[in-house]
This record gives sequence, structure tokens and C-alpha cells, in this order.
Amino acid sequence: MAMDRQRAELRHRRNRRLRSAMVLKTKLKDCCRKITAFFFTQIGVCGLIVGYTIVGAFMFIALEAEAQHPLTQQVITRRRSCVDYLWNITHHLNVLNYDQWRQDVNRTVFEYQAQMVRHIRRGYDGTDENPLLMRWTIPAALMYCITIYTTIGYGNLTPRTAGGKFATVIYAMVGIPLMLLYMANVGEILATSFKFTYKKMCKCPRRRRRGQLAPEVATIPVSQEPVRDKKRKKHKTDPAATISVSVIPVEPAEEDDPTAYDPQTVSVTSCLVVMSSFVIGGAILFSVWEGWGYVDGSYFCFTSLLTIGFGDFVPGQTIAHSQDAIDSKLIICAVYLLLGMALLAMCFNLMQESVFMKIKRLGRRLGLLRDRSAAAPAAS
Amino acid sequence: MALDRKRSVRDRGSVRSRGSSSASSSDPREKLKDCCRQFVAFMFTQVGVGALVVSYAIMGAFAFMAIEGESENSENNDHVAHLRSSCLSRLWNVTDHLNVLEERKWKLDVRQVLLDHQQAMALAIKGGYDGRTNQERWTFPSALMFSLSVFTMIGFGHLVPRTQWGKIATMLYAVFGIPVYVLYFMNMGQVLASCFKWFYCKLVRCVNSAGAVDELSDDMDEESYSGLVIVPSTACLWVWLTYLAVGTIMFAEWENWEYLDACYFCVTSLCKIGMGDFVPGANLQASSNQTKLIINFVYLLVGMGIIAMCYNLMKEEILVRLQELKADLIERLQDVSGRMRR
Repeated sequence: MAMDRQRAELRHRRNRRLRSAMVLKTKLKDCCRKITAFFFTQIGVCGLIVGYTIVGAFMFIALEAEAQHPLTQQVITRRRSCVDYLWNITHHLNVLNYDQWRQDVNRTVFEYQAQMVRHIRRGYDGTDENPLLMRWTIPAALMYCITIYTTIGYGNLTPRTAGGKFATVIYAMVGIPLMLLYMANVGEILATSFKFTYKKMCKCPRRRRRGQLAPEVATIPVSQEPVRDKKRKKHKTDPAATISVSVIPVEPAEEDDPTAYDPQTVSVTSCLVVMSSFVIGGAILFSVWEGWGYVDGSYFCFTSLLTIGFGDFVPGQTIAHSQDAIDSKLIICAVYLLLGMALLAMCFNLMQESVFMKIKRLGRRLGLLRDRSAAAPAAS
Repeated sequence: MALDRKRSVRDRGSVRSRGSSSASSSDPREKLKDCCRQFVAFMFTQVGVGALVVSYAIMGAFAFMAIEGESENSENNDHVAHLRSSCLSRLWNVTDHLNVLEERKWKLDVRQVLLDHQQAMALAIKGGYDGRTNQERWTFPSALMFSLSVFTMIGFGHLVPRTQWGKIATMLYAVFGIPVYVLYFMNMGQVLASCFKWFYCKLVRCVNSAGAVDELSDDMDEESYSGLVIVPSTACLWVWLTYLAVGTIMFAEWENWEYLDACYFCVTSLCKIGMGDFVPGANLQASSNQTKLIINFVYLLVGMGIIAMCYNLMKEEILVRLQELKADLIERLQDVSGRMRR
């Protein structure tokens, strides 16, 4: 009898071990599959953006490289006539009286200068007559494409041919949704990994939270709700897991601990810190490289990351530098911008609800937004 | 949310039609009062947000005029004067050192001098010299356009702050203005989207049937509802394209641009890219362009609202399609991995 019980116990224990091993194996396979799908989707989107940029750059180079500014011919003509006029002045003064000559020439050159100013304000920038300077180099074209679909739009390099303008319009209309997709995707990934590392960092001393972290690990790759519910019900019937799918962070699980921090507010401060350090780092980097002041550097980073993009400060646009230096600076600027966009998307993702609630609260306090429930049937 | 509202409207409609005449006498007056109240609240909200946006832009315009308009452009002017005098000295040297004034050589040298002067001028103009004083540059309409371009994140760049305080003010203005703009964007989008849905519904109903019988109206609610989810994507794209066409024609006529240039301007401005090579009314004198700049301002704001409406209407559909795509992709990957395992 005791032997039977022992054997039964052994069998039970073996079965349990086998079952747990199988459960572990299926969990592992599940994880692997999800990670592959995750990479495929994310890498697909990133690769799509990079490919789109490169294709766009080559297209614009093909369209715009040979184009001259429409005012160039006018400028050349005016300069020629100015030279003729100067010659007349010089030639007709039989005795070269310096003061008289200088007065006349000064007037002529001043008129010439005013005309130049008009032309330059209409977009002529003198680069056409410098045979060594190519405007549409590959890095410059890449930068141009990036400024289109991130909607920054510096404007220091603009299309001059009709084909180029038409291509810009089409490129923008396709590229902007693509960029939004990229930002949504990358923002989600960065937001969830940021939350994960943050929780891991802050929850290390709390041992009893370990069990509740596991379902969150599995929810990182895919977080589309209706799809996930179907798939999750096959593997786990853990109610905490399904709850954690729809609400990230896991609020019900933390209600039992009154001393737990509210993850949303903490994330807001921390991601503001991340964003401001990114802006400050970029400001220091660019002001040191380009010789701008710190105010100018942070002004540049700020206006670029907020996609305003005035174009008065663009890295690598001071003509005195050599071509190589300009190229590498443009590429680093492009990488900085894309990374900055991704970080902005992450912050937006993390702060979405709290910021909207705060704005609504502000609006209500200012008396602008009445109670939405009263206006809801009429408005939406 | 919309589905629930539609269902509740249908239920209320069917309850009413089943002939509860006792409550119907006070219903119209109550409904009217309710309607009025809702309308006032609605108008106040939307008007409030619109007024906030406009007043923020005007306040910003005055602030930038004060900060930037009062400053002197002295160092740029000095620099340009210095450039001109050095150009003159070089011309004199050329003239003086040619003992015999040979025309061709002289002209060649002078042309080179002028070319150098011109390149230097181009650099100076990029650095901010304009031929006008700061007061002339920062007129009220230009400053208004500048404020608009900051908080709508378009950023034309044809007029930029040159003083340090101006740049700091721009950054602060952007930080506070962008949430206001986002609020306007979402509000405007919701309002326009609901208006458009209502209008579209009316249109569909008019087109579908002349007389509404009860069971037919129930069916039609279902149909028009399921139609509403899919069709408005193309419908609101048409609305956007029409708005774009209107803007193209308007700017091409006013500014004497080519149609392609006007279209290019409209698209890059409405997509918030804002290249700044074409800006209506930027290059001419201030006084004649007040109305034009204001109309430009209104055009851009309403255009943003229309984009918000399209975004609002198409958002759900795009999300659903994206989810389906992702689910499909994951299923396919699972199939592939399952087949490989076997």
C-alpha cells in the first residue's frame, strides 16, 4: 500500500514536471513567435521609412540637380548691365578724379545691390554661379526628404523645377501617413519598454510583484486588444493577464498596495526629463559644431523637434566648410531628427491620457469647455 | 459611441411612432429648449476655442512686434555698408592699376568683383539683412503670420526672430501654443466630423428614398450606418481635394503664381511642412496686403480643421484595417512556422 502510494506520488510528480516543462516549452515558443512577428512588423516599418527616404532622395536628385533658379538669367543680365554702366562712368571721366568717380560708382553699386537684395529675397541664393558647389548632394537630398515627411520643412533647399514641385506634393501625401505609422509603432515600442525598465528598476525591492510582471512581459510585442483577446484565451485564462492587456499600466493589481506610486504621473516627469535632456544634448552638440550660441542651438533643436522648422539655422549650411564636413553633419542631423521624433512619439504615448485630462480640466476651469456630457449629443 | 447614439435615436423614434400621444404635447417645447441650450453650449465651446486660438495668435503678433520690431538691425547694416565700401576699393584698384584702360580686361575684372560682392551679399541676407528696417519687416500682418506659423508648427521661415529674446520668446510661445492648437484641432475635427456625418446622412437619405416608412427607415438606418463607416473616407478625401483646389486657384490668381506653385504652396502649408519659398504677400509692402494675409490666415486655420475632420473620420477605419493587417500577418507567420516545424 505504501509502495503504491509512493509510486503514485512519483508518477504524479513526474507528470507535474513533464506538464510544467511542456508549459514552459509552449510559453517559450509562443514568446519566440511573438518576437518574430514583432520584429517583422517593426523592422518592416523602419525599413519602409528608410527605403522611402532613399528612393525619394534619388528621385529628387534626378529631377533637380541640373535646374537653375529662374532668376539666375536676370541676375546675370543685371550684372552685365551694371558692369557696362560702370565702364561708361570710368571711360568718360577723362581725368580720373577719385572722389567724383567714387560717388558715381557708389550710386551704381548701391542700385545694383538693392536689385540683388530683391532677387535674393525672391529665392536666388548665388549658388548657381559657383560651379564647385552642388546643392543637391546625396546627404542634402536625404535631409530634404526627411524634412518633407516629418513636416519640418526647413526650406533652405527647395525644388525649382515643376517636376520637383509635383514630386514634393506626391511625396508628402504618401510620406506623412507613413511617418505617422512609424511614429505610432515606434512610440508604442519605446513606451512599453520604457515602462518595463522603469517598473523593473523601481520594483526590484518588491518581491511579491514578480508574479504579476510575467503577464506584462508577454504583452509587450502585440497590444491590439480584440486580436489579443482571441489568442490569449487559448493559452491563458488568467484574468489578471487579460486585464493587463486592456489597461497598461496594471492598475487593478496595484490597488491593493496603497503605498504604490501612480505609474502615469511618474512616467510624465521621467519622460519630460528624457525629452529635455535630449534637447539640451542636441543643443550643446550643434552649437559646438556649428559655432552657434547656446540659445541658438537650443532654438534650433526646439523648432526642429516640434516640426516647426524655420530654416534659418540648418547644420552644415555655412558655405565655408568643406563638402565632407557638410555631408557628415547633415547625416548626423538627420539621425538626430528621426530619433527625436521617435522619442516624442514615446512621450506622447506615455502622457496622452494625463495630458488630455489636464487640458480638459484647464479648459473647464477657464470656462471654455463646458461639461462635455451636456454638449455631447449635439457635438459628437 | 456613435453606434450607441444611433441605436438610442432609433429606439426613441420607434417608441414615439408607437403612438404615445400623452407625452408628445410637452415634448416639442422641451425638445426645443433642450436644443437651444445644447446649441448655445456647443457654440460657446467651439467659439470659445476658436477665439482662444485667434487671440493667442494676435497676442503673439503684438509680442513679437514689440520684441523684434524695436530692435535695430545695426550690425547687419554696418556689415553691408562695409561690404560695399570694400567692393568700391577693389573697383578702384582695378581701375587704377590698368595703365591703359582696356575695356575687355577691365570688364572681366569688374565682373569678378561684382560677383564676389554678390555672394557676400547673399550670405549677409541669409544672416538677416533685408534692405528694410525691422519695423518695416515686423508689421502686424507679418507678425500674425509668424505667430500662426509657430503654433501650427508650419514654420515658414521667411520671417524669423533675430534677437536672442525673440528666439527665447518663440520657444516659450511654441510650448504654450501647441497645446492650444492641439485642443483647437481636436475640437474642430470633432465638430466638422459630426456636421459632415449629419450632412452626409441627410444626403444619403434624400438620395435613397423619397418617403420614409417605419420599417424602411429602420432598415435605412442600418444601411446608412454601415455605409457611413466606409464611404466617408473617399467623401472626405474629396472634400479635402476641393479645398485644395479652391486654395490653389485663389493663390494663383492673387499672387500671380503658376497653378503648380500655388498647389505646391497649399499642400506644403496644409501638411504643416512650410517650406517658406512661397508665402503669400511676404515680399511686397505691408499696407496693401492686410486683407490677403488675414485671408491666408483663415484659409490655413480652416484647412487644419478639415484635416482634423478627415483624420477623425478615417481614424477608426484605419485602425481597424491596421489591426486586421497585423492579425493577418501574425496568422500567416504562424502558419509558415507551423508548416516548417512539420
